Amino acid sequence: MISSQMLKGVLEGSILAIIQQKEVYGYEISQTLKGYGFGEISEGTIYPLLLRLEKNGCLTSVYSESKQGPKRKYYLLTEKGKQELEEFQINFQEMVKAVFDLLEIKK
Amino acid sequence: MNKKTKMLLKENNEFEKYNLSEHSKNVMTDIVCYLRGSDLSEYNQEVVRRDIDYMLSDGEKRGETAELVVGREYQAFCDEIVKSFPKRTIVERIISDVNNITSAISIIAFIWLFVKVTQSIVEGTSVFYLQITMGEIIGNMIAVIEAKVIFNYITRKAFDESNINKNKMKYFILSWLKLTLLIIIPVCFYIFLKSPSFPIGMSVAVSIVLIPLVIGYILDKVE
Repeated sequence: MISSQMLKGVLEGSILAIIQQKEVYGYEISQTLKGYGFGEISEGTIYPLLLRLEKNGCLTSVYSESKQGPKRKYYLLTEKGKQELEEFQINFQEMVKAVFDLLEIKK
Repeated sequence: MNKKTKMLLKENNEFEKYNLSEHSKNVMTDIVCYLRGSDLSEYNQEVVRRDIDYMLSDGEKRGETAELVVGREYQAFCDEIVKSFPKRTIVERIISDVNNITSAISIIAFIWLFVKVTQSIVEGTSVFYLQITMGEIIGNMIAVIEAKVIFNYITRKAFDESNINKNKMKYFILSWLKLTLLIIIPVCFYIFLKSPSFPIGMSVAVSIVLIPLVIGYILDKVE
């Protein structure tokens, strides 16, 4: 079972990766994650993570008008966010490799 | 509450009034009530409220309910939001608490002054010298503490649904009895503890109303 702390870390890294590609808003992020096979992740799960990343200086945000109705909060990656993403990629790849090697030995 | 926060609060009230369904409005009432008792500053409460308002309204346009947009666990959602913000320092907390207390003191002092002046006019005594009793001082202090306790209780129980299945009439009567008891305590001090009493001039009485207001105004600027 994946611990909630680990899932949070993976989600944060994944969110940074999505925002790196383009300016996005909360719902778009949850849909992109769903598209990649993360399952149903509501905006309610993502919003506190976005807030935390924003407070840590990894993201900035702007409110932009939408055609459908109210304004939307779009998120952008900062320099610190790019560094965090790079660190996440290295750490995650190391972890995946370690787990993969372990599973190979067991075989 | 500072000007920036007041403006955002007004914007949010307007937005909710015209852009959210009744169901979302009810959900927002609970969320805002819970956040009011949290560690977030008043301004951050309103920033978060604006974000959730936009989320819910956007969700409604897609045909999604509040439960689908933010998940069913509203309290956990709010707790995660609060955790995302850096904890307030002790100084920030003290400033915020003192600010809230000054408003309460000022309101209660104003009510006391109004009652005293009215009493003096009715009794034909001088309005420039008022008598303040020990019972009035203690009663008012208890009223301020009770207000804080009730506020904390209501905000903490914002998502509590344990009373939904209870006998509504019994719950209603019990709630009123508790509230009446809370009101009776300070009133008893007012009625039964008439001595010692101290004469105070009108300028001092007005100062008791105004000084907390001025302190609150300064603290608003600091916050």
